[in-house]
Amino acid sequence: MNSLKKYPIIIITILVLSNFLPYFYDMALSKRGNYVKVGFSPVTETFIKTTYPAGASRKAIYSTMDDKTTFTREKFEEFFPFTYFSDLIRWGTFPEKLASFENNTSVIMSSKQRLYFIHRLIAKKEVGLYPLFESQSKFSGLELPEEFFRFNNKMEFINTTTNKIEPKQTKLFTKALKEKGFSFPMKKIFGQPVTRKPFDEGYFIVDNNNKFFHLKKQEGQPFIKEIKTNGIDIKYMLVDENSRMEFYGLVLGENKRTYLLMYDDYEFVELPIDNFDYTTDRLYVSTNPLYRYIDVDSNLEDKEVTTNYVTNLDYELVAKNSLEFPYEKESFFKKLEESIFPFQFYFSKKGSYFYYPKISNINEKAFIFNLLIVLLYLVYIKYSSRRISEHIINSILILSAGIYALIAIFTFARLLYFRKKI
Amino acid sequence: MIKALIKKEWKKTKNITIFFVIILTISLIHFYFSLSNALEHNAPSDIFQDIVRKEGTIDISFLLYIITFIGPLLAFFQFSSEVSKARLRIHLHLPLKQNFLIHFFSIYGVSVISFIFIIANVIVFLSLNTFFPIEIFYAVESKFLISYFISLGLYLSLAIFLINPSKVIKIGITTLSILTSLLFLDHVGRFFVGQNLYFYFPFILLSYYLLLFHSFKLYTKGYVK
Repeated sequence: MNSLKKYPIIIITILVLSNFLPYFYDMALSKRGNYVKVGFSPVTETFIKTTYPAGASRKAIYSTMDDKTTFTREKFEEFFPFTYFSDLIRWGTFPEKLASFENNTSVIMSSKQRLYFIHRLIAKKEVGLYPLFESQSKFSGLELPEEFFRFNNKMEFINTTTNKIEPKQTKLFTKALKEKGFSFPMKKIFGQPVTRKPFDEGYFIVDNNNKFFHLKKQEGQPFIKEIKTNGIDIKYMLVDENSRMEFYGLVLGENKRTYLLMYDDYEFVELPIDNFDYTTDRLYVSTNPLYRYIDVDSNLEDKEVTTNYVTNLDYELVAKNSLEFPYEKESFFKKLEESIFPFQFYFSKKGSYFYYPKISNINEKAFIFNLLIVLLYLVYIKYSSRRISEHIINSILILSAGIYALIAIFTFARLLYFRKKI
Repeated sequence: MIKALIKKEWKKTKNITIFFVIILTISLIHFYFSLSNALEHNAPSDIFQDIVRKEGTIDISFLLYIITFIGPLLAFFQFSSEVSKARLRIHLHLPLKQNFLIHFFSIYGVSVISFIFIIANVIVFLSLNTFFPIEIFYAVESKFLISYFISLGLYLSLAIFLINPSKVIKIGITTLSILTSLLFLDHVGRFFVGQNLYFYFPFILLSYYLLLFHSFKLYTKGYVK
């Protein structure tokens, strides 16, 4: 195997090792830090911290953000009457400041809505068949229709019993869409095709000309409305039918901008958040009678960042808090990692359902270590009576891929036996 | 001569191939009847929804395991007997080029795996197409194809393990094939996830193939390290 034939397997070994070795190293030596949750109290109008310490004891510590004052769990619940109102009413400790809600808990209940977006949602490919619910059914619960639809050069309904195309519905909906200026085929479709929701709002569709449409079925007839996007390039929409009927869902646009699509005239309201990267981050939106909370969790290379935004009912920023959690590792092991692993290889799925090979965590320090390994390697080659000139490519590989290349070469290039000196 | 070689390979792998064909036939019949049974007892729209949302009704995990394990088991039956009595070297005396023999052995194995995979695919396609639109078959196929590639990878790596005389390479190829399979199996969970991973397989399979080629040569040269 003196020719170049050995290099494909060596390269694959380098890539596989550069995926697994740093991962195993992290698993063995990383320490889990404290888990911290931050909430904005409508009573004190400040942020309150809940810390779950690392280790076996998971007893929560409730405190102010500067950790100077700690609270009991009972006191902590008083700061969040919209969450713990049942306890507070039972104990008779509902805060006076918000007393109007004490005897009106239905307002609290009906003002709750939660949206959760995780980057994986955008990277998920659908099967491509969707049910179109009757959104004005005379029955209170939603029922699955007998037909599912697909989009190609028309909106095609397939009868699930016969597995045949339903020409009537296909013609009706395709014609209605074309009349509204819809251009086939569609590019993106967003909806919540489940029966466990209070009502159905159908689907939001980006057509071939990037026009945005709202489509649903009302009494068997198509309801189609073109939505003016004002230039927003819609990357993803998280639809959430909620009895509050304030917004249809969360819309992710370009340049890290995020919106809510409101019921009121299909208006886009931009959320006052910055640096939300929908390809990597997680986003929570929750509501209560007085505030809207938006939490963004970002996993960066060396730390996790949680940013909490609080807005008023008009989505104007009231308060903001940001916390950073560096990935803990004892400094010696951290330095060692930076010195021995020159890079990490993995399959990235950023913002798409395709996997792309990616190299990250490039450590410049490791290349000094690589140089040292190359020198030792050449000494070994000389000592084992081999020709250095035959090992130039190997040396270059070790210089670039360090320990990964060294293991791969020693495994597959048969270097562990000594040649006899001539 | 080639006919005789095919007959010899067939004799070695006949039992395991027939075993897999029987297992596959049983599981495909089970797959077909579980589908038609589910459609008899549930509203078809519920089944559709279940497939589209939860991916639960079409349980092809058993088929995936069968396809994945055909590769290594076939390699074991094809090469272990040759290696255990050092019979592989006898092939050198045949009036055929050594390179041809190496290609022949591996192509035989790859063909058997591919043949079983294609037969399974045709039956799955016909079963699914009877009840569902083509989208469902595409979704199922997106998971199926990865297990086929993993099977080919495991076939080649086990062949290398058996034939290559170097213990270091034996350990190396075992570790590498386990880690590579893990890397790809990690992404097989749901429909369509990681479908473009297929594009990386030809490179991996080619590198395994080159190493297998090298292993044959080492073996026939009589290296024992």
